Amino acid sequence: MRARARERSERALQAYHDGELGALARRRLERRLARSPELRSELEALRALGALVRERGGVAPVPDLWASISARLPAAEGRRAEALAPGRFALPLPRLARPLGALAAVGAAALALLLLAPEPAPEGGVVRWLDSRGTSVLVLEDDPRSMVTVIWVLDPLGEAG
Amino acid sequence: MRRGEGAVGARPVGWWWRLRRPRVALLALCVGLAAAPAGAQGPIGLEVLVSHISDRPGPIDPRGARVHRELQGRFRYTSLQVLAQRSMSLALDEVGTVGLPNGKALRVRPNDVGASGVLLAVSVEGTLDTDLRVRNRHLVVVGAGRFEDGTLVISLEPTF
Repeated sequence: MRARARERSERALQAYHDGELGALARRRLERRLARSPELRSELEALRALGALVRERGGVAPVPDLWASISARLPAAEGRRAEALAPGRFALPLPRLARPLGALAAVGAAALALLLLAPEPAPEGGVVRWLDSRGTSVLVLEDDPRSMVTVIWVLDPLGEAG
Repeated sequence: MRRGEGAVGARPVGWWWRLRRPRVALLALCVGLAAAPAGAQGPIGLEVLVSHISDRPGPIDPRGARVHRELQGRFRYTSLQVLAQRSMSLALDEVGTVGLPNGKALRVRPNDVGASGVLLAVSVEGTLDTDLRVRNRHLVVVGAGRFEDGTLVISLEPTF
């Protein structure tokens, strides 16, 4: 039982790392990340692994890398569908508990409306992750409302362009 | 016959049955709302401009006017020439590729659309890999390193 929960957690974390979670699932996981140092360290490990893979990819380019990313997307779609599957709503509840299910559904609908309402401002900046293979990069993100972000790879002498 | 079990022609009359239809409708609403951000998203439009800026005397290409507005005063150059312009329409997880004049490739993949914008995975081959969360019509300008006597500049502007 615990192993299954752990596997589910790992899958969710992987999907989060790959940017594949829907808004609701993402927020739920971010709340868990804020609470759990263990989960945060797992995410860091995933990021480090991703950086390593990308780095290796830069040294010896693999022509089919993007194709392979696309190839594993159906699996990601499967994970997303699994997260949304109604199966978990179909637990064999006792008869008296069923009306409570209706109330829970009303609550869930209200929560979904609350969570999916437009946000007033973006969370965090535009650049969420960056790997320039050791080269210095200048990132100019003045005001989030300026609608412009400049990412400038500096040449080895440190000059901007 | 137990209450609620439907024989032919019989109608369920219990309070649970009266609750059942609204409950199913609410469940459908919840699932629909949760699925909406991932499933209902149309293609992401992406304007890609590949330019070259240098100190060589020359004009500012009018197609690169917005890029020039953002770069002038921040970087020193006297000419801006647009080398390529591409309009793409990408579904989520679809990879768009643009060949660059230095022989490398720019690859862009929209991963997710949320309230704070579209998550784009951007790769300038051999130079830079980055994930960007970008609002509608937000301009991202990438200085992608030396090219000939100047700098290669790539700009991305998503529309969704």
